[in-house]
Amino acid sequence: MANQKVRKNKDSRAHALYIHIPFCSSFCYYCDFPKTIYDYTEADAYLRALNQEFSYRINEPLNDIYTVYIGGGTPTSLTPVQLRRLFEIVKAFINTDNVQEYTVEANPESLTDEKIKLFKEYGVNRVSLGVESTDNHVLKDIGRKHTYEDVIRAVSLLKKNKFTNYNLDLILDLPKVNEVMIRKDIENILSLGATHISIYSLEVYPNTVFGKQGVEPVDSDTSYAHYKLVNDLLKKAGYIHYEVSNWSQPGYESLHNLTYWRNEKYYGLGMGAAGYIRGFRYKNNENINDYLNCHFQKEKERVNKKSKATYEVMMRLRTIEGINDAQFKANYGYSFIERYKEKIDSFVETGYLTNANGVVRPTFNGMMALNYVLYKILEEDL
Amino acid sequence: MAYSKDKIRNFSIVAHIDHGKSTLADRILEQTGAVAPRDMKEQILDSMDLERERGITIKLNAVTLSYKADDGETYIFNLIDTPGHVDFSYEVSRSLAACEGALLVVDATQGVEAQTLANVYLAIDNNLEIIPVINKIDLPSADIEMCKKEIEERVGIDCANALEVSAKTGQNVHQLLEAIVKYVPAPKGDENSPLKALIFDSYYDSYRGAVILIRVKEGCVHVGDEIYLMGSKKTYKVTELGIRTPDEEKVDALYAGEVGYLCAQIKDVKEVRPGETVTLVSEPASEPLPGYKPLTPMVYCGLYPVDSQNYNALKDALEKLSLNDASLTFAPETSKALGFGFRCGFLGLLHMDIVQERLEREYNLDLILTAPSVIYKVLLTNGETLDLDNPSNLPDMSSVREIDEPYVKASIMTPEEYIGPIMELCHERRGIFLDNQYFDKTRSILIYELPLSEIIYNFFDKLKSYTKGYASLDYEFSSYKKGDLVKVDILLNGVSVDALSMITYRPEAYRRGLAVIQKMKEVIPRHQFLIPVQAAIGGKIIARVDIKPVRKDVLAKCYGGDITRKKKLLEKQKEGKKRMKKIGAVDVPQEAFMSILSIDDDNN
Repeated sequence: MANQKVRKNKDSRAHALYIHIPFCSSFCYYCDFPKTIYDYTEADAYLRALNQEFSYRINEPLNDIYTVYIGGGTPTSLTPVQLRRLFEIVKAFINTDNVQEYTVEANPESLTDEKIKLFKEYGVNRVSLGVESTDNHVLKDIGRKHTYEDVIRAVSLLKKNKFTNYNLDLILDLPKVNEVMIRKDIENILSLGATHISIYSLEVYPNTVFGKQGVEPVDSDTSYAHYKLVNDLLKKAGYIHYEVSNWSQPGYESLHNLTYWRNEKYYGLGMGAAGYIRGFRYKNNENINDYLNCHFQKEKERVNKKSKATYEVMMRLRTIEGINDAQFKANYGYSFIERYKEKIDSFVETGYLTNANGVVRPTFNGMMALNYVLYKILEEDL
Repeated sequence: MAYSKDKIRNFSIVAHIDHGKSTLADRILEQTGAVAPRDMKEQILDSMDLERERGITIKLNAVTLSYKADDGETYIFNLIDTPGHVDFSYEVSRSLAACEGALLVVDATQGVEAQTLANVYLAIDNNLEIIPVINKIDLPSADIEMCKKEIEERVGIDCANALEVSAKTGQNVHQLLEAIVKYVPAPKGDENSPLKALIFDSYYDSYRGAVILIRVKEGCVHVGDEIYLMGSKKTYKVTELGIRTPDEEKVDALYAGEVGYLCAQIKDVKEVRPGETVTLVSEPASEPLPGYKPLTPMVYCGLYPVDSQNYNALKDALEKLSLNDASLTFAPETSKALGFGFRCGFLGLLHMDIVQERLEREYNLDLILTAPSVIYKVLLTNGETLDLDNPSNLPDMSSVREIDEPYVKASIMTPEEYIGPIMELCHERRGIFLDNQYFDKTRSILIYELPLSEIIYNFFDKLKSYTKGYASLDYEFSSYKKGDLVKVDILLNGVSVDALSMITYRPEAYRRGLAVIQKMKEVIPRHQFLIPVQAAIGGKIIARVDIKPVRKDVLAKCYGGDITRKKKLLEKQKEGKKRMKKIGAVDVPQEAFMSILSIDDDNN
């Protein structure tokens, strides 16, 4: 991340904007994101409500938004006309000329040449494609509606339209997936030439099909072995493991997502979206009807200095940037390393953290066991 | 004298748990008008919340009621409640000794249970008139005739005059009250003889000291009398006498045949143990009432605060609890692993459970209990005998000649088809077969002599699972016998944890040791380093398992919306860690210390 300018934490303005599009043509069995089945009329109404939320949260057009991320749901479930309307709304409230990274999430089966051209027209410069698996049987078993062939088609469409910066999502630890299949997935993904790869270990939530089916997550030793295998293969191919679940080619870390992991401010708009502005973390309603009736916000939490420091440790130790002690001290008035010296030392000794030149970073093992590491470090502060 | 003796009826209710004793008591209270309906709480005699929740009576209680019978006369009923669990059989026998009659309550849908039987025999031992009462006749599954037949065949009591009631609806409770008048004998005893009053319960009151419940057998006692306790040999001056209806009503004197309470500025309930005889200093009785037994806790365990700063709070709580629980003993002890705590003695496992729960609930203490132990008699080579209530205190085996362990006589009532599995279980647990009595056409009572240590080691759970819950168990101490016993130590991360040491039957040592360390592996969370858990006998490692370092424990996705959730998860995690004890660098959850008990042998 050497080529990314580290912003000062003193800067209290938000420079990132997230927009949630909750529509999907069908639900995947593992997904617990706020979502609803796509309906043409409802999607129109949603865009109107979204426009209202923009006016509610943003008084005058913002010049200093550097990253935009449109996620879902499935943003590409919208029709081209609706997508255009969405991009127009964004353009009305922020100066997209200053946006460095503009990402849209897409599903392989609903990404068309027309939609990609629309992306180009509005300055979208990064696409995140939900691949999840490259095995058609597995895809079917997890409720996805695309095949690996759809992925190949979508990627070639992106390339044809000169989209060079794209992320591919994979899910690890899916039922019945063995190491041979994982190797094949990685081999396939690498052949697609992505700049960025996100690989998430399956988490089973009660309100999902998997939850209802009683799908058991794999045990932690197996999951660790899978991640280790994936990491070894990606590292060999030149990717950097810069966050727990994220790998990128050098210089292609997700700027938008780094906002979260650096504990910086961001706007969040849309059903179920979360934001962090002006000292408050807020979360929007996850119910489509509430949202359509312009009851946007569900809850908010004031982040005091102590709680901000806790968030800082929690989030920054997710990435290899880690915690820069000088910067931490400048922001919070005490040294992270001194305050947690004993614990940091023991984690360095057991190989979960490194501590060099005033920066504490997680190792691969540290990232994998981050809940444990964080809990131990923050135990007395919680 | 307040009442004519021939108008007094002293009785108790004998029943199995859940057979409706407390509900029936409530109904009797209601129909005698002792308590106005608006004051009724469900099951008024079970005054502690815990009893109410568990549906079992722990503390004895007594209430005086007046009943206007169909013959136009007013009778005084003293209803003396009894606890319903095997741990409290001595207390039951003492409260029965305060009565002339007992209602044998049997659930019409369940029939007679072993526990009931044990208490009925106590009642018969005490020469009580027994009135069979078939309860829950309102239930569709009630089988009254089957129930009567069982009572006649198993208990040997004529059921011609058995009452058929529903305590729930109140049906036939009136007839029951009439039967009490008719069949329970009036008390005997001469009020002019020297005083003999039986203590059957006590509780502590911070103003008056111990309030003792007594049944005057002979003579009378007045406020101001100097009394003498024949068991503890202590003298006190009576400051207050009264009856409970169930509110206290003071009286000037209590006479032969009556039941009431007595206060005498007694500081410690342990001095007024049930079964004690109260007499007068001025004119003492020549001999005490029969049946008194000094306090003998059967099961011991260590009690430690999770947070060592709470030692004094635990001490205060134990002192307060023991004010009302004469059966609870405690003495300070120190554990290398757990710090400062107490070695506590209990009547049995249920008693231990109740005390733990009360300490945690009423005194808000987080506790660690070490595995319960019996008292071993250790014969040393120098001729001395050591009563060992804590396995970690066993001296070096070179100075030990012999270890004796307590055996109990256990009666297990079971449907016949389970006799095989039960005999197998008893055999595994080193049981000595004594008898197999036929109880009726379908059920038997197996009598075994078993080491008490085998009973506290999940015997009851096993018995229940072997018999689909149909068997019931009752036991009493029989004798000490020489055992082939050995101490197994548990090492955590290389360090012996004294609180986990156990004494076990030598041929079982490996299996038990392995089972314990496997259970420990299950309950101790992974740490950042490998933790070996070992079982050892006299320094020699016999089994080992490793708790691997934490490998993967992370929230895969952490974006905008997940951040506050992640923080809440961490905070929640902290709640769970509160009940952990740090031993060296290892966080050990409470349940690890009980792992010796919760082992399921089938896993091995």
